[in-house]
Parts: sequence; C-alpha cells; structure tokens
Amino acid sequence: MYQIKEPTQRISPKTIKVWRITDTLSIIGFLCLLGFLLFLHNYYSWSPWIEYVIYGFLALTAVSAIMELLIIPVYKQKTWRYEIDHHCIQLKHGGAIKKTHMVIPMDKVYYVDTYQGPLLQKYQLSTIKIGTVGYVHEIPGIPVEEATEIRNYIAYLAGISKMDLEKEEKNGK
Amino acid sequence: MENNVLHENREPIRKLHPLWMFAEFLKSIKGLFFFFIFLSVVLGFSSHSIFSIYGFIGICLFLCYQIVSILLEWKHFGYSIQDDELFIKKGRFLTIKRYFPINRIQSLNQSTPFFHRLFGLTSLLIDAGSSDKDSSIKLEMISIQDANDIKKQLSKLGNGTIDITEEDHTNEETALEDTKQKLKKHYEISVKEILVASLTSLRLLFFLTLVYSVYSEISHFFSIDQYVDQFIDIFLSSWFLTITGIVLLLVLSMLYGVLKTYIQYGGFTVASDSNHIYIAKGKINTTYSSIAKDRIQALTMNSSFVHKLLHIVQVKMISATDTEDEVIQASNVLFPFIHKYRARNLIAEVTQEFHIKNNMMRIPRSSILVKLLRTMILWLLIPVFLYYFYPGFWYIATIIFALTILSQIVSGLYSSYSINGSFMQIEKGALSTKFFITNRDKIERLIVTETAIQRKLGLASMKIISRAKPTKTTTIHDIPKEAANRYYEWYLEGTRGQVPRPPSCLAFIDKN
Repeated sequence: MYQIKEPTQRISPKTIKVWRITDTLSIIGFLCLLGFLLFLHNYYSWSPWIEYVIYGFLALTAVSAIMELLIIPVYKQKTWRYEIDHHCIQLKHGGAIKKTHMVIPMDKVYYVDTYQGPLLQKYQLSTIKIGTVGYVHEIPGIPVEEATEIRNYIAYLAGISKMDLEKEEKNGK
Repeated sequence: MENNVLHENREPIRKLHPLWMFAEFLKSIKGLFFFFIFLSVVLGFSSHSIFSIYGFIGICLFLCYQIVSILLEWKHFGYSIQDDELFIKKGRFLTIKRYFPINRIQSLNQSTPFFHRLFGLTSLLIDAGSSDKDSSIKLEMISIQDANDIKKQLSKLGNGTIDITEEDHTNEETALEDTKQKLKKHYEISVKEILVASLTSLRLLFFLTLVYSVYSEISHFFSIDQYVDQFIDIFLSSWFLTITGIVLLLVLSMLYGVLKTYIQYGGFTVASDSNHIYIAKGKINTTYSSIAKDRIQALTMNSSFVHKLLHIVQVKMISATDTEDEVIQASNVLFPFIHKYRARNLIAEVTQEFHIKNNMMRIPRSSILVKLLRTMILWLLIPVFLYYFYPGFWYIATIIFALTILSQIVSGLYSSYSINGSFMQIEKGALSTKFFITNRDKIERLIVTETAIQRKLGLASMKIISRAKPTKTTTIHDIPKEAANRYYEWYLEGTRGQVPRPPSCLAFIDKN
C-alpha cells in the first residue's frame, strides 16, 4: 500500500516553551475573566444558574490547562513537519487524533512573510506565513536565520514561476 | 507597424451617461426611505419627531452631500482603451487613475435591465484579473453602442488575437473575420426544458409565500380580513368549490413558476470560439457574458432530489469572476437545467478541456459508520435537545433524526471519485447530488486528513481548494486511505511536471 512520504524538516523544540508561555498567559486571562464574572455575580446577585455555568467553565479550564500545558505542545512539536522543494511546500501536522497533510504548489504562493512577536524574539524564533488564495498558512517555530533563508527561497521560486507563467501566456501557449 | 498605428489612435476618454446620476440619486433616496422605516419601526419614532426642524435640516444636508458627491463621481469617472490597456479614472473627492492590461482580462459581463434598454443603455462588468480585491471594473449605464465598441476592442486586443499578432502582424482583418466565423452556437434552452424545470422546482412554495407576503403587506394598511374570510368561506362551502379553488391555486402557482423561470432563463444560449465561451440569457433583463476558457477553474453539476429522478442537472463554472455584484449580475451558470447525458457531451464540446468519464469508484461502505459519528450533533444532540426542551416539536425532532441518518447512509453508499489523467472527479450523493470536476493544474492546494476512527477503518478525507470568489473548497470524506495517498502523490507529481526550475539557490535545501 502506498504511503505518503513524511516531510523531513522539523520545527524547533524551543517552540514548546513558547507555546507553554502563551497558553499560560491566555489561561490566566480567561481565569481573570471568570473571576470577574463571579465577583459581578455575587455583587449583583444574578440568578444561581450563572454560578453553575461559571464553575463549569472553571472545571473545564482546569482540565484543558493540564492538557494544553503538559501534553499538547510536546505532541504538536513532535508531529509538525514541513518540506520545501523547487516545486511545492508540504506541511504536515497532528498525529494520533487527526493527521493533516497539505501540498501548496510554488506557483500558487502569493506572498511569504516571516513574523516575530516579542516572545518569539526572545527565543530567536520566527513564524513563516505563506499567503495563498483565501488563507494564510503558518509554519511555527523556525530559527530566525533559517526562516529568513526559507522566505527568500520561496519568494524567489514563487516569483520565478509567475514570470514563467506570464511568459507562457504571452507566447499564447 | 501595428503598434505605431495603435499609439496614434489614442481613444478619447469616455464618460457614463448622465442618467447615471439620476439613478444613483434615486438609489440614495431609496436608502434614506428604508432608513426612516427602520427608525420608525425599530426605535418607535413617530413621524413628527423625524420631521422636526433638526431632522429636516439633517435630511437636507445629507441630500446636498449626496448630490455633490454623485456629481463629482460622475464628473471624475472616465474610461478609455489606450494601446493594450484599459484606462479608468474615478473618485469623488480624490481621483484615482488605473490601467488594466487587456490581455489579462478574465471575463466580461454585460447586463441590460429593462429600464436601461428603454434608454438604449447597458452596463458592463469586466474582471481585470489582477490579484488584489479591486479587480473588477464596473461601467454602469453606458450606451449600447459604446459597450459594443469596447467588446470589439477587447476581443481584438485580448487573448483571442495573441495568435494573430504572432503571425507577422499581417492580415489582421481577415484573421478577425475567421475568429468570428469560428463562433459556434452549442446550446439554446428549449421551452420543454423551461417547463419541466420550473414545474419540478419548489416554486410552488415560493408562490404561496409570495401570496402570503402580499396579503400581509396589504392587511397592514387596509382591513381586508373579513373579505378574505368571506372569500375562503365561499370556497369551503362545497366540495366542488374547494377542489376548484385548489386547482386554481395550483395552476396559478405553476404559471408563476414558468413565467419566473422564463424571464430569468428564457433565450439562454451558449456559444464559443477557440478561446472564449459566450453566454446570453434573460427575456426582460438581458445578460451577456464571456469568459476565457482557460480561466475556468472547475465545473460543478448539481441536482436537487426531484431533478435527480428526472436526470436534470445544473452546470456551473467555478472561476475567479466576482458573482456577487448587486448591479451587474455576473452569472456562472453554464447550463441551467439540462439532461445529464447531454450536459456531458456539451461540456466536452464547449470547454474542450473537461471530459467527464464514467469510471468512478464508490467509497467503501464502512464510511457510513464514520459519517454517522461525524454528524452525531445533527441527528442525536439536536433532536434530543428539541425533545427535552420543546416536547411539542417532537415531530420536527423525528424528521431531523430520520433525514440526517438517511442522507448519511445514502451519501456513504453513493459518493464516488476518480482520476483521469490530469482530471479529478468527485461526486457526493445524498438526497441531492453534487458533482465536481477539476484539472490538476487548477487546484490551488490539496489537503489530506485522517482522524483516529478513520485510521482504524483505513479511510481518509480530502479537501481541494479552487480559486474563486470566495474560495471554493470541495471536500470528500472517507475515501480509502490508499486512494487518498495516491491522489496526494498525483498532485505532487503535477507540481513537479511544471516548468523546470533552476537548481537550488540556497544551502538549507542541501542540508536535507
């Protein structure tokens, strides 16, 4: 049986830390929001079912926090693969629960960017954003220098292929 | 030689018809009117407060602003064809000048509403094929003569004549004549098709809602309830009259359906030459559109449940042409209602690219299990929720439950797929059928996914993204994993088969 060949490149293990920090921040933010709602609930004595909902959310957050901080970042980093050659970009993420493979041909790439937030900057990482029709795909956690190289490489190839297409059009095929 | 002549023949800048200002003004008054209705209904303002002195001043200021901005917009708008570019100048308070290369134009739509035709006016929507958002050019209310001029110029300078300029720029006139003669009519809608399609569609329901909405509109202003009650009483007084009434209603609704379809699709014709497809349609508001064949990204053939039984399909073209403009309705319908087998032949004949084959493979039966699990929310949670909280609606819950389960089972039994050379076909069948065919080079990207349950059963799902506005995503769930892998490889091969690329220019690829 034919198997899809896994893309070869991995993303940096440092990404796990970045994801953990951003997730912690967002969980703290959400907890603050829930706390504020609880305060409002007591202050204005809203109807009791709201309290149950808030506690429900608290329990859910606690469970998902464990998952999100301990397991998911490791799993995501382990399963993320990408490969870029002269013709196309291949992305793969996910594994046991849901696995996704994607092919983007080089001549369908409209633009490519590298992106760096303050946290990524601290860990010397970049995210590559690949603009295609209707969607922007991201490759997270690439070391800065490599990301710049990849960006230049894709930009070069995408530019080349568009010029080729135009030439073809002009020659009337 | 030719180029020099073109340079000297710089076209004067042309403008829209002055009536355009009047039409725009009417449009803004209409907007204002609905705004008042909104205010008085939603916010409960009485008519007095609207026409208080401040309100009156406000309206006057708004209208003045509208008049000035419409005047300026008309004054600043201009278009002309210069060399091989379409030049557009537009703006209200700031003017923009843009040039669109003509050989990149993807499609052209001409629509002539009834009132425009009275004044000898028409509107053009030109898709300039640039990748940014503002890629369509709208020329509203220009004279039919001007529109024909533009069409002629575009076809002279556009894709169609690139072949001609290759031939040493010699006898361009005769070559043009040739392309004109090559224009071949493929299809004209028949009265029978209109009749069958309109009688089997759900226009009956639309008719009843129309009657009801007219009735409720009138009853706002006049109390006609008692007359209506009397009227209904007369019909209910005897069996004979009741049956006559029902028959009358049916006949009226059928007439309405036929008339509506006739107005919309009457005179639907499809023609083509070597590079373009031309579609004309409509009896009262006429529409004419042309699209370059190589811009068609994919084709779909859909049919509703009733039409499926009669083998009637609707064929649509997927392309990047904007079909959501309010004023000029660009149409992506290639054949509105046509017999399935005839559609197949005509599609091959018209597009000369898409050949639909019959060798499609059914997806495995085990897919039904996955499909049922995937749609659990629909058939389990929603009915249970309805049953628990609104026990009065138990029948709706039952209908949702039965229909969803049935459609998932049918979809598992009848969905199919195939690859023929560089073409991919997908058919998704539930109670209605959706067929999709595309060329490998036109697929923007391909995604294969596999969930844990699918892996157990050896299945996978596939998504194909095509270029359209908005982006079109076609998904086929639960094909055998091996097939999905083969498709993936097939697509990878396609990207490799393109223009040979220069060797790697960077070190990181060599690291692999």
